[in-house]
Amino acid sequence: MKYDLIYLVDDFDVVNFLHRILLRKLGLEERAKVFTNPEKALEDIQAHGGEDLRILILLDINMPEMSGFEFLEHMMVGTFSQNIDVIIVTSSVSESDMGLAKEYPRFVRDFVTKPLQINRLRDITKSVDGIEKSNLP
Amino acid sequence: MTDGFEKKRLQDLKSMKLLDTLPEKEYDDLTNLAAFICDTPISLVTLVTNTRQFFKSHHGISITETPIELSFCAHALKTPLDVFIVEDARNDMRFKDNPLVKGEPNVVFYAGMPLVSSEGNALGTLCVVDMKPRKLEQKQLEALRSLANQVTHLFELRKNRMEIERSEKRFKGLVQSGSDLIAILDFEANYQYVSPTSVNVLGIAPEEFVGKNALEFIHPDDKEAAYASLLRLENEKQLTLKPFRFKHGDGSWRWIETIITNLTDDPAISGLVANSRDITTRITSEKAIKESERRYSDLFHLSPQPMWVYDIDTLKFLDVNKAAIKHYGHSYEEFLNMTIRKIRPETEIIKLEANLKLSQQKEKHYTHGEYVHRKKNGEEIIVDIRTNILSYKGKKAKVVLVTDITERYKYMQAMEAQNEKLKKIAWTQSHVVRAPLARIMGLIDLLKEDSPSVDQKEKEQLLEHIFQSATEFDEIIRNIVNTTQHSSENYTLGE
Repeated sequence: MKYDLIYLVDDFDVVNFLHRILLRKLGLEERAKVFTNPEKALEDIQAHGGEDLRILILLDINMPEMSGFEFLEHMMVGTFSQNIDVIIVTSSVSESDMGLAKEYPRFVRDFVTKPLQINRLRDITKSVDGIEKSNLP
Repeated sequence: MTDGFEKKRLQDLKSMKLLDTLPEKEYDDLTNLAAFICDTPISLVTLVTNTRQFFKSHHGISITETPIELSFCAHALKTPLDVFIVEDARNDMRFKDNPLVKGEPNVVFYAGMPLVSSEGNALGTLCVVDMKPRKLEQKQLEALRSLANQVTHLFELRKNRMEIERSEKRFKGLVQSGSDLIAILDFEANYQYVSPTSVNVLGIAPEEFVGKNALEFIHPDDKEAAYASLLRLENEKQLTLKPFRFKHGDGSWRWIETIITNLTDDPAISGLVANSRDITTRITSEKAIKESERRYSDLFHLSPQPMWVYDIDTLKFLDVNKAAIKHYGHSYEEFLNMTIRKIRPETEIIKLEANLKLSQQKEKHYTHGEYVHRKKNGEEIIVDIRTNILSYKGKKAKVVLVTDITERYKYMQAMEAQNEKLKKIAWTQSHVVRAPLARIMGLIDLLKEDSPSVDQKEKEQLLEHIFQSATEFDEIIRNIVNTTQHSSENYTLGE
């Protein structure tokens, strides 16, 4: 297993609930941290995420307090560990969103359209060598 | 003796063409009179060449010439202004051995008055001869001098007549072989004379014009103008008639240009001299050019799009069409006192100057671009401009065709704004619409498998979530329908 902490960031409880159950199926539920408010999530990551911890973030884009891209902007300018992988999980099928996601290569590893499938999540969390960047559109 | 003077004298003599001509009564009358006055049996008009003397008139003697060596007259010529007199040749050293003295006709007395031409050359003499010694009275000598003058007058008349004949021949040659038609008319336009060139020019023999009137041949539409011009000649010496159509011998109408000179005062002509030439080819091509010019002028003036012509050097308007006047609000006179700077807002002047500089360097014939213009009322319009270089009344100019694209431009802007809005809607739909749907899909996925990792309570939660998401989905779709209807009302054309 690659990640020590898995952050679920989505303004909808039901999405996080879904993702938690998927992690449970993969036996990773206890590593999940759930946030409906992205600002809170950022604070938490900054507070707890040291270089020794490998972190995965399942990030929604369309959120009222802060969009997924703003979230990524904060990560770019703030002091964040290099050990963080972001998977954008969105209901959008818009190509412009995929294009935007590419602008944060330091963190963004993949772009996944909802609903997130269990197999996809398994690949993301299991892969020893990390997720291939070529998965990006 | 053939010095320069002698040479000229001989040329003068030759040009008279009197040598070896037949006797003429005028000369014979004068020798007759001289012999009578001087009371001598012989009187001669002699012409002295370098080898002989020829008798143009010989009264009282039958021979018509003698060799120069025997000539008394040759001596007389040495004193051109005075009568030369030998009273008794038998006692004169110069003549006593002369065969004419020693033998027939036994000349004793000689008196010769040199005949001096208008050129100043003594060509011969009028002389009287007797066979006995004589003396002439002063009156007789004066008479001889007067008669000699008469002979030289005859010479001059002859010379003039020859000159006239030559010039007449030359004139006839011109009149008969030229490409111009020459006619003499009276004030009523009746033909008095028509040159033989009428055959070449009009296909009609000159004699066919005799007794006819020029107006008979002129096209009905041109007749009045031609006759009016003719009347003006009562006061004017010469005028050029406006080209008129004249009936050719083959029945076709030919365009004729005529210069008429009033020579009614000249007794030799006493009429109006008409010089005419066929200018049909010129008129036809001029007409074609005018027609084509009119056509292009119509295209310009009647064009529904604004057009103008401006001077490349001064940038002044040279011509504008009605559509330009209507569209820009300036009158024709205002336009012609303006440069093309005046129809641009201040902000466009820099662009204009740059473009002008560029086109000066490149000499492009055709240009096309979009610019902002300003109407008289200050309203700014966006225009599509096409220009072409042309020569306008000798000036280097540009013709400009204007298409007002302000409306089209606004329309495009509205379209782009609407497009932007539609993109936004698409994006929202991508996120908002798909969100509950994606959730429903994920939730159902979990329900499908009878997984031990989801307990009964959670299953109930799942169903509740599905219902909520479905309700949300329904609301969103209703919303979209409303928004789309609303926005399409807002984005009507021309906004």
